[in-house]
Amino acid sequence: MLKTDCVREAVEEYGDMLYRICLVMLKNTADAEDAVQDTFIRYMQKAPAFSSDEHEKAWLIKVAANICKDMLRQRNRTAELDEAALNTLTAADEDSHILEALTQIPEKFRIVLTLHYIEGYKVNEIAEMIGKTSSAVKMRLAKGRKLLEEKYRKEYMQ
Amino acid sequence: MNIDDLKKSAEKITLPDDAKERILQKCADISAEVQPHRTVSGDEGYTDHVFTVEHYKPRRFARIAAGLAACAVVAASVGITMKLTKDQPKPDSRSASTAGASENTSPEISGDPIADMLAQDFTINNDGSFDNGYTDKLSPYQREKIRELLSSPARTEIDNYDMTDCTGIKFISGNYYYFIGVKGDVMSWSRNYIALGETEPATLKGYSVSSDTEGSTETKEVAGVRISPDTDGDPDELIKKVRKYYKLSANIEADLRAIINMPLENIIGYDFFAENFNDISENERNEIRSYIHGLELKKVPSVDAEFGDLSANITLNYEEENLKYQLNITGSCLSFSVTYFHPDGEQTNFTSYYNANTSDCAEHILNIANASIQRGIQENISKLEEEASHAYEEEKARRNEAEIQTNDSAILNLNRLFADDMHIGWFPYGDDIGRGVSDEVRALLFSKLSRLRIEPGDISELEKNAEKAVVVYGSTIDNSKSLSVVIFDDKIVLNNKESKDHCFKTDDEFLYEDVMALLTGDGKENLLAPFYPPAEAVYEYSGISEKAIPLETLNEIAQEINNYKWYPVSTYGSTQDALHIKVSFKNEIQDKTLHIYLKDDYISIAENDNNAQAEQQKLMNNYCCYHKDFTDVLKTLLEE
Repeated sequence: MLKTDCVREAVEEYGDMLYRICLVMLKNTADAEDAVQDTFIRYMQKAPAFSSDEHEKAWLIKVAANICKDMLRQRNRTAELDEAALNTLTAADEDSHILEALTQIPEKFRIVLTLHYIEGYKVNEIAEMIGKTSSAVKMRLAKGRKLLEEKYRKEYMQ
Repeated sequence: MNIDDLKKSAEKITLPDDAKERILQKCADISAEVQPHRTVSGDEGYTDHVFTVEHYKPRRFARIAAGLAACAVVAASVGITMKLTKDQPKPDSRSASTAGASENTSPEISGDPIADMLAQDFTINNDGSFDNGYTDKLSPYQREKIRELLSSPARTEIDNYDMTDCTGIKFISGNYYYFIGVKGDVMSWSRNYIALGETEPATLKGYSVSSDTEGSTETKEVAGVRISPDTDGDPDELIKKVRKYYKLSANIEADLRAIINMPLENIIGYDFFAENFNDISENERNEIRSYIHGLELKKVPSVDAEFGDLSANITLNYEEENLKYQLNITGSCLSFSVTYFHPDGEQTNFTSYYNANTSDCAEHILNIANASIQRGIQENISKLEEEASHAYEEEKARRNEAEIQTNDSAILNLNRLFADDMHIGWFPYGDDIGRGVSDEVRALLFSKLSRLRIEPGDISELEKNAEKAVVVYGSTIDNSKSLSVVIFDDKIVLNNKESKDHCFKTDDEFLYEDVMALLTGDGKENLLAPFYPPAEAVYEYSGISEKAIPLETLNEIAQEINNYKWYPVSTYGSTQDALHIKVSFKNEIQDKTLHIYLKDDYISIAENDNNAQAEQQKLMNNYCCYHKDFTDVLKTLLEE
């Protein structure tokens, strides 16, 4: 088990990133915080030896994504964005509804769009993280962009 | 919509500081395993004290590990398997103060034993018997469901209950054997003290779990651990018998059995994949889940598994972190296996076997999985078609670029963007709120952009973030095709979504201003007032010396100019080769000249006071009507 100091360092380094991913996935601030907490608990209890910071980051993202998937499975997967999450997203950028639109597309597209456009991961890196082929990730990116654009134009553009 | 804004917006979201502190505190609590400190009194007349937990001591661990190993030897002889992996429950730190079970110290219990016990990695005894051979390894999913189930119902303590044939949950930690029994709507909790010695079981001391009589010295089998009384000591001092019964608010035994009897739920609840098959869709997965749920399954020892037709075989897998779940269906047998990968490389595996009530379940699931192949084939075909289309577009773009590289006078071709089926809109770069354009402006914009001379260019990251940029986009109604153009000062970037960006430098260094003026401004009408005497006009242009313009013709020209909307532009560019019309007004009051320069669809007008100093001359006002042939039309009028 890792020491608390190591966990603190990891929370400071990766907490915001994991929270963003979980919030987009779960659309609920309380659940997102729980998911981040569970991620760091697992990190404390089960983290392997990391070969690099990138390896550590990728491990955390993978665990967080799996936790989010489990939570989505256990509750209504079509839950709407709750008010607190909506306030968080719109406070991020009052003029842009793109984040809101992102939360409204299916989960499997959300995660690849988040990892690619927000966290800057490449296709092959995302493929490794989520256990899919690079082709599958490319298709999800393409389709996800299209769905995001459609959602955005339909909901937020006059 | 600018996808790059996703990152910019998301980066502003941060984990609240209070949430960070909660997380760190939770981790610290788990790390320290702090327990509450309080005193409770039991109905049996014992006063049970809760002592502060101490951290585990290595000396004690070695002794307990030996004791557990001894238990396993004995347990195996009665067919009960204990969990003996490297992550064994730590020595019961709650009893750390009783260090040395044989050292005559009193055991303790915590405030909520059920919650305490459920926090451990417990195992179950499926049919109420201690002596059966099917103590299952529960999956984390099952344990979680059991925790939810047993933690939720309200409970009232009762004096006693016949717990024969109850469904049991148990584990051993340190010197204690814990057991939760559920029967109907009653739950019992007991903890029995097992003194573990360093020698053979015959020297072990303890109480029988089935004895309700205080001071009983009967010898009984307890989970395969033989205990016998210490005739030299007072058992009452050594052991506090603890057993509590609770009446629950609901009958939960059936639910508990359902969770225990469905280890399959663990794998089929997740996004499993089928070996040797393509990605299974969620629909297909649900179909498999429904089918498996509908099977009647009977748990059997491996020797009784009815594999049947070995050629009908399919394996479903799911992996997470250090766990691998496999469900193999062969013939009518389902074998469920959980493998735990230890950090040091060792593996621990538990496999259960179930016979189904139908012999063709493997075949049925194979048919569902085979459907994924057909679907995959069709998807691949569609993907190939789409890739072919993209490749075609890429090739076209590449050829355009190649042509541009060899042809200095290449003209930007935006026919695709302005095709009839494309809806045109625009927004300032970074704004993302699209605006539409009127048919008129659309036509003018097309005229403007489609005559740009271009050459290959690059755009730096700094330039890309420039504020002076506008995006003009076009898309079909079903969004199957889209194209956008980002217009900078003198650069233009084409993007068709599926292929890479193409950047070009144009010969119009004020392109951005002109396009913005077109998109945002209203055209100016009636640029010229009618001319009256003493106005005299001449015109000239390349190859034509000054020629007089009759007043009537001049007014026809003015009228023609006023028939169009003129949009302000930043520059007219060079007046060389322009049609130059000079209109002079000279009388006692004024002496001025109106200069009108016309070139293609541009007009530049300046009025000069001939008596003023040069630096007081009025600057030209430049406009564009975006009708390319306008000047030629005027020339025709002049030549008639």
